Amino acid sequence: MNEFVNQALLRPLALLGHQVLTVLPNVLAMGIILLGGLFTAWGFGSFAERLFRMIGFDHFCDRLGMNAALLRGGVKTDPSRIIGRSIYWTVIMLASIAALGALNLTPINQFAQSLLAYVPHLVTAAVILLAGYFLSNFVSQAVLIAAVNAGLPPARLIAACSRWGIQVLAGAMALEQLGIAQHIVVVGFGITWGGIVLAGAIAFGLGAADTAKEFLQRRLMGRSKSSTGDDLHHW
Amino acid sequence: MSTHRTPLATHDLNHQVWETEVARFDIPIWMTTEAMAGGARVCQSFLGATIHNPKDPAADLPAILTQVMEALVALLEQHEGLWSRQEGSQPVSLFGFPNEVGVEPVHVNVEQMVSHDRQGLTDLEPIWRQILADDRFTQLCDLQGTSLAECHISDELRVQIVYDAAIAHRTRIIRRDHLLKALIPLYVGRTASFIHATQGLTSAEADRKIEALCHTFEHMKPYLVERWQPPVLQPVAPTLLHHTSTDTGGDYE
Repeated sequence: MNEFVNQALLRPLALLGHQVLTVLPNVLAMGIILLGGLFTAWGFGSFAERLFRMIGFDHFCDRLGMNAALLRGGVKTDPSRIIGRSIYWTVIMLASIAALGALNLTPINQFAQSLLAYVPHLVTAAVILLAGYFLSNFVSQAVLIAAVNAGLPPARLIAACSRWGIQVLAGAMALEQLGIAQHIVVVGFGITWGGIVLAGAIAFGLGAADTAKEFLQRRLMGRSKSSTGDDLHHW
Repeated sequence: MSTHRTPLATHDLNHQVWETEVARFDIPIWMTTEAMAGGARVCQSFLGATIHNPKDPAADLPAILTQVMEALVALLEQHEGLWSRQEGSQPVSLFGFPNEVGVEPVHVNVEQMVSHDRQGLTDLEPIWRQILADDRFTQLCDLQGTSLAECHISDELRVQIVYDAAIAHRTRIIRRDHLLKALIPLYVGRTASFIHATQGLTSAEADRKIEALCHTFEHMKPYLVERWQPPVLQPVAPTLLHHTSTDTGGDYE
């Protein structure tokens, strides 16, 4: 009976206890990493927010038109706070990945590693989007002013096209970075340029058919006349 | 060979502006302002008509206007301690014999100019709203529905617009080159308004209108000073030129 109790009940319990004792330090380490990450995130986030506020980053963004754009997008938080919160959540995310790694479980480790490997792509995509946003604002403003000064009636339309063109391109490049649509930029350019050339050809064919006809007639008839005349002259 | 130079000539020659754009478009503004700011004695004389290189106004206007305004605002910033303390103006000594140069009549399409101004008001609204005070923008909007004859930009409104633009340039609300280029339709509109107001007048009568505009600039200077907030005030305050419309070049107001 004692043998049975030892084999059937106590041994599994001892094994479970042993396993719990093996994992417990890892869980403890995970808790400590999470707690440390939480404090670090809070510290870094607050420090960054204060620093950016102190150096007048909000004012700078206001001049670039970012605050207005954020308001248009329904974001009422100032840019310094956004950066502070971004840093906070980035540290939290990194700490969570590190904490999961501390558990030392193979599937979780693999997941954490793939997540970490994806972070540079995320950062690159964010930088591309941000750069695209600033560039599109700058270009559309410059195009709008130049078009108005040139007296072009659809100045706003031209400026809007330039803005959206750059933003769509930046979006496509960001998606490519994220691996969501690998060949979207090449395909997009192919379609766009193909469309423009086709539209131009159709417009020319419909709107300037007579001009094209006259031009070709002048070129071809002129050449044949001159060659005929030349032949007669020599004969 | 004797190389005696006056302090003013030495001062001017030592500045690296002769190979820059300033030498192309703004040298009269720059030299006059530097002379006044440096405390040199200023006088006025008739040298005849200023002859410029022929330019295509349509092609060159944005570049010329941007350059001239850039130079003006740069000089404003450079000498803020001087002009912000100066009150009023007084006539300067006149040397030589006054002579009037005949001006060739110029044909301009006022309707097109007003249309350019109105397109600016419609299309550049977001930019102008950043540059101009709300009141000013409303006044400009009121002109939108008026007929060609009634589309008149008053001297007061014009002066406030220029001062608003100078303040916006200083505070860098938007990119400086964008700001200056965005003001071109306003300049064209004001020129159309001036043409309309001086049509049929003699040169002397038109000069009096420009003189009145200069006085308006002078009287409304506190508006600029209040909003400019110079960081450091310099103690020197030499005499400023009293505006007389004897410059036959007539390029700048």
